[in-house]
Amino acid sequence: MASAPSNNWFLQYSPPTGEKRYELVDRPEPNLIRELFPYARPPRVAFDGQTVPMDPAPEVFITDTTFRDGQQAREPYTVKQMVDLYKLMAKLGGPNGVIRKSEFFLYTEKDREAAQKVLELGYEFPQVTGWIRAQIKDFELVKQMGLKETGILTSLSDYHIYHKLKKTRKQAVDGYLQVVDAALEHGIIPRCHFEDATRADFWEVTVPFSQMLVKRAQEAKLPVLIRFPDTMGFGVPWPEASLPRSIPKLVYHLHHEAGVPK
Amino acid sequence: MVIANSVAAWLYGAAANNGTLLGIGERTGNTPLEALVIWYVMLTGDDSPDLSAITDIKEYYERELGEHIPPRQPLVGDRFNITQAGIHADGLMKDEEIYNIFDTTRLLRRPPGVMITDKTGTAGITLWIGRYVGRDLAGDIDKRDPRVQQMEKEILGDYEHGRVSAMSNEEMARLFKKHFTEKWNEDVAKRLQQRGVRVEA
Repeated sequence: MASAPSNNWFLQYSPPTGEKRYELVDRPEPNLIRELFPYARPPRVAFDGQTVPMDPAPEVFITDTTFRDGQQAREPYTVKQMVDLYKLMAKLGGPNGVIRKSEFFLYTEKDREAAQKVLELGYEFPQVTGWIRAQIKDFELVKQMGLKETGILTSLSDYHIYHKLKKTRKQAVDGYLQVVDAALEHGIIPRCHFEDATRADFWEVTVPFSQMLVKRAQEAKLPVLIRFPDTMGFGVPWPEASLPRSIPKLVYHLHHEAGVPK
Repeated sequence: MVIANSVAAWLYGAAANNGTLLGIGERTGNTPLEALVIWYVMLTGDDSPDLSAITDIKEYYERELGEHIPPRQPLVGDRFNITQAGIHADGLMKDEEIYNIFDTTRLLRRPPGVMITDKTGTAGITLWIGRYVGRDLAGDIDKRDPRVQQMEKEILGDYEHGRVSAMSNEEMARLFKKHFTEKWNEDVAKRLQQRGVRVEA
């Protein structure tokens, strides 16, 4: 895949994007990356003597999860409160839609009602997106609501795959891909939440899985979105830090090695 | 760390950053949406977001949801642009920009303020009078004014007797009434009430 032409007058180094194929490495035992996450002691930050250059996307914006992730951590909002806060969020985001999207749970009556009321306001931004369990029937729900995009949980660290889901990497990834395929078949943009991405095996799991998503997006002619939740807060902002804790390296390599478009 | 990580994600290629209002989320929370908007403006120079909505959101959470926002939380906490140090109060009086991040009065409807303790000194007291009573009603008061010095003496006396809490606005209003008797009138009482200070009749 060629990199996009640049209209900047100065020469830029553009590494090849996503040409190398990375294979998912299935293992009988989890890689818990004990050298960084000893658990009996505070986690470690390591530096690997390599860095990546700054490389921002052509356009940046903000997405919101006050009513989804935020609501998992406090008493539930009433429908009226969600509508009021959505209006204030739209005011804050301004006419350019700097706060571009806001996500809603779709599996309780109350959350569906809130999403419906917010849709009825007819604001251009923030766009309403969904959040569903990885169940095929939930895609009907997304479609009924007229939403274009929904988040799905695709936990990537071996802590989640082996210890929570009790699966191997291949079994977990196959399960996620079924859900992604179902979304695409329904014409819905899946947004894959790489839960615990800052503790996942980057080269053996994150990159190969991302490449599978890129391939599916190309075939379906629909975007597949990737979110990196720093679930436990292990992320660090330095490009010189080692994977999987370096946020710059995670993001940079996702574009340049896995070939995920910006 | 979460703000630095979010900004790093933007700088190294992520198109979108995700957050929640006030940063409310599991365990220690998510990236605060209001901070992301400020960072977006700082990085892109796009001033289209209406930052006064940050204060609307703060007030909505406190009024309608009974949320206790930590007073030192950036942008939305009660004390985020309030000083207790005399030297900062002195600087604020000379030029607000010395000790205020940006025009918080215009952009957030949150003028920089002062909280009086034994460390605030006569500059802080003068600033308090300017902020709450106003120069139009109190006159052009200097920190060397003997009435200001009397007020400070009383405050320091309290702390010498073991006080540890900051002076409330109500206590400051009583001290002003006592030492600026000739300036005290109905307009002053009304002004203080408008600014949220409870004044006895």
